[in-house]
Amino acid sequence: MAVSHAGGPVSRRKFPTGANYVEALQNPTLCFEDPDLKHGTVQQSPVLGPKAISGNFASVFSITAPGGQRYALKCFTRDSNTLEARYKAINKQLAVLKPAKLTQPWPVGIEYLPRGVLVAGQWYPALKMAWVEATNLITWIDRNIRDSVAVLGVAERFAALAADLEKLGIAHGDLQHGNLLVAADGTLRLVDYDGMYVPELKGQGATENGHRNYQSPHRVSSDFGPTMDRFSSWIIYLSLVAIATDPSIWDQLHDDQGEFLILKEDDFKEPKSSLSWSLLLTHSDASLRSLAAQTHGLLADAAHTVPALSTRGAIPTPIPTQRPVPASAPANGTPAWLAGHIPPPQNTSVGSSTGAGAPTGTGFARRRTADVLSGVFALTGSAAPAALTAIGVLPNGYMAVAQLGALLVSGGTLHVTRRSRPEAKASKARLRALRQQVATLEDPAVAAQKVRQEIESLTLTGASRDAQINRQIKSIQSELRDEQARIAQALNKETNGLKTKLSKLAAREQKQLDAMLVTVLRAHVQNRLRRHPIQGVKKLSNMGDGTVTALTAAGIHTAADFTGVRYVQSGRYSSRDAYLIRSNGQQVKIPGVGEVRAAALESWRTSLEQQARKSAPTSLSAQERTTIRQQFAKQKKQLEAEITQAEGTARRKRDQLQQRSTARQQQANKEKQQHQTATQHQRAVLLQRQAQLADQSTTHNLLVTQLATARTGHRREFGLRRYLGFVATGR
Amino acid sequence: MPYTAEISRTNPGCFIFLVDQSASMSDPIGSGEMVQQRAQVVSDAINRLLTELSVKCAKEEGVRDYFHVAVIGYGHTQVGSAFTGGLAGRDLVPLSEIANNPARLESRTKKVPDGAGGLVETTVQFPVWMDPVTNGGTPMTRALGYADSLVARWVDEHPGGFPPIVLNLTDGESTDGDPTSAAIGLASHATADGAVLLFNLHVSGASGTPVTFPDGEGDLPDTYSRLLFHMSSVLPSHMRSYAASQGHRVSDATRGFVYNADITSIIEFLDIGTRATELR
Repeated sequence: MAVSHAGGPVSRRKFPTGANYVEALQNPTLCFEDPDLKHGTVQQSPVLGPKAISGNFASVFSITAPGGQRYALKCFTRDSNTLEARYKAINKQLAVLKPAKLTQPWPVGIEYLPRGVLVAGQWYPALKMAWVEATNLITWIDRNIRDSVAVLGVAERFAALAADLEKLGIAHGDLQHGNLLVAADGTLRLVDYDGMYVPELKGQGATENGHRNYQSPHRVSSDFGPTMDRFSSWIIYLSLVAIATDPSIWDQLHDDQGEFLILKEDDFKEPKSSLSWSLLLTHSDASLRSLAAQTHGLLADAAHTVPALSTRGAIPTPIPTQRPVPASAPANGTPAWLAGHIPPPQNTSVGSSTGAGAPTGTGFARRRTADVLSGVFALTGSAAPAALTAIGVLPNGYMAVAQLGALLVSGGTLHVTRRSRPEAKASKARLRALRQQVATLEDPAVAAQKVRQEIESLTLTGASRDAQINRQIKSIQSELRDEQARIAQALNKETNGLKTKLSKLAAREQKQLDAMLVTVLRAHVQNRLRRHPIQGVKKLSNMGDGTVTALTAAGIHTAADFTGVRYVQSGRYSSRDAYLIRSNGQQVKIPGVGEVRAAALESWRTSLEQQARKSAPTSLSAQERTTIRQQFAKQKKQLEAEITQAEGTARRKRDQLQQRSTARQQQANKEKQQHQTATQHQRAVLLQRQAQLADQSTTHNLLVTQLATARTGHRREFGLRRYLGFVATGR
Repeated sequence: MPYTAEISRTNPGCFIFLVDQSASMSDPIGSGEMVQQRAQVVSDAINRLLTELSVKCAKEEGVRDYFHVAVIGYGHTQVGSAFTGGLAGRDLVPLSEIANNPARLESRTKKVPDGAGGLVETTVQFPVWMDPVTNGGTPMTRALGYADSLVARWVDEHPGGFPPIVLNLTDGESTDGDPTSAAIGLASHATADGAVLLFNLHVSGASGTPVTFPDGEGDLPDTYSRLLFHMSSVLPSHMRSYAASQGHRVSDATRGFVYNADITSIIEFLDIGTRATELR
């Protein structure tokens, strides 16, 4: 990895930190020059003063000018000496964009302020932008996930935005949920142009590589150019289409608070172990599957070779909020199961249902003799007591009682004759029939309420089971992630020691080679010294046969048999005794060898040793080297084998784990689908019943109305007053 | 590649500050008008770091829990939470809670340049979570052990996350033995993304020029600073790049060690979301 030394290729100044800006913005009149900002109001956080919205390179503050216009002020926390030039070029490009030629008003006006904010006596640049009233993509999805049509609309508008950029030769550089805002009318706004490419910036490097959860794993700085948004465009488009097709994908693949839509860095880097891809690539919706496969195919491509986003054939029709059609909608509106419960609604006329050729209740038809007689009887009977009293037959005191009795008898006679009229009988029968019909129909309102509750409870149970399975799938994913991390953790622990050993192997090998050379050298010297018998010392002065005999007796036969001399203070006459050191380390006092002779012996040996060293080899023989090298090569091989084995074991563990997780996820999804199918079926039956109940309710209301009408009609047509009139007039 | 794990609300990072609260921290530092107590310097540094971290993780809806943070003090009486106010007694606290619960806001008067060559007096609000405390010995080994237990639990619960960062702020004079082996033990904990990072800020009254992120002990004035230097982790490569972009001389051996200088910039080293390129 590249590391710049000594401050890098260009000197940069340290920019203020986010907290430095927060402190400076506590005094707008001091820290700003721009009049809108200087006298503006900085939005405050609950506790820590001016409210920052921070990214990795800047903090943004909201400032409302005295005129009410709201601005976003971007304050940079990392220096870039190209900042001003880049923004000039970007601004120039944005300024010439014709709104009419864009699919939606996505650009946001920016103004680069070279003297933006004064911090600790230094001016730093800032970017003044109009505040955008819109919602970031993740928040918007969270709010609209159940509205598939709206989500698909945003997917289409996103594709249109990407096409706008392609057409203009512009690239944003960091397309992601935080930079894509959805306005109230559903159109998109694109914000944060720090990493934007415009044709004028051709040949420059990237300032950032974009959000990790949206970028090709192969993206590099040199990809800075018109094609750098393509990978992220495919990812965002696929994500939006996927959740529009099947909103439960959002529940399963998006982490609440996750900084991604439904796919993230690991899914791009290690697609093989990605449960998300496996879910998308095997989805039941064919067009989603195909779009997923198309996008998945881009993972291996170099970032700049990714083709432009194409929506051809990829737009599926979103499944509208499910409202299953009743299995067999009857053509005449009355479901079969109701047959026998209600009379067939032949026509809307009220009385027809009683049938039997009875006259329809339009009153009394023709007077019978009985009617006339009962009328006469009633009239005379009622008047009788008064008449009798008047002529003195009845005593005065009985008149009231007699009158009452007479009235009752007349009334009774009239009642009986009235009711015995066939028209009245028929009407009565009709009423009875209607009452019976109303009674046989269970109250549809109650039944409908029950069905509604059943549907609600079915929906709730279904939703809670779905949520539970979604949670289960999420937990399978997070377990997989944690377990994979644990395997890597254990592998690192195991191999770190081995790798350290491996890295020290070369040094150890050299050390051994050096040691070997020393041994070879010593052997050579010893070998040479052995060729010089001790008799050779006789050439030296002061040394005779006696000394040689004494030396031989002490086991010193050649120059190789001793290594030096050790002198020890003898105590007497302040002289020193000399001990020869034998090659085995033993010290030996030779009779007749004092300090002087010992020194002579030592210098004899030293000069011979020096001679021997001159002829000694300066390096190891090929064979000696090979022996050592082979020994280390073997060690190296063994260590490497151990590492490979550990890595292999870890890989197998990971593969097994992943297979298990994939299987579990698929099983969970299968169960979910089975449950959903069953629920849908139950729901269809209930909805059908609900529709039928609606019809039944209409019939019920109809009957109730009929009954009420019939009652009123009966009373009107066959009541006593009408009967009396009929009896009197025959009409 | 190590030290590249995403820091997000679903994969939060862990920050543990260890703060020396021994009696020796009451010694002065600096000269002339700038004389300050070491403990004051250190508590200011912590309060600044917490503000910096809160601002760095602030979004539209408020401060996000990209980190869980502990401030552990060590001195005569105890090794434990150094928070005052509402967070007193707590170890690892989600960042949003920290941002919303400073013990108090101090009004500090400052003379700042007015941009026209003059100076003007202003008042700024300075959030405080921790007060300077000076008392007794310097149980640095025990403090590292305390961090060890926090880190062990964290690593177990976040096996794939960015490794915990432990920042020790001290005058270096450990009174419970050589802290080296405790430091090695602490740094031996690892997530799949790498080993725990241990950084040190050495606040000293000894002479010597301030040093930031050195790659050797050559410029360090005494045994304490050299000891702390060797205890400090080597900076991961992306942090080295940031240090370089801030004008520091860096190499493969550059360590997370600062002597008598500002360490707030360490917060800038943390990537959240969008990745910077290696060189801007």
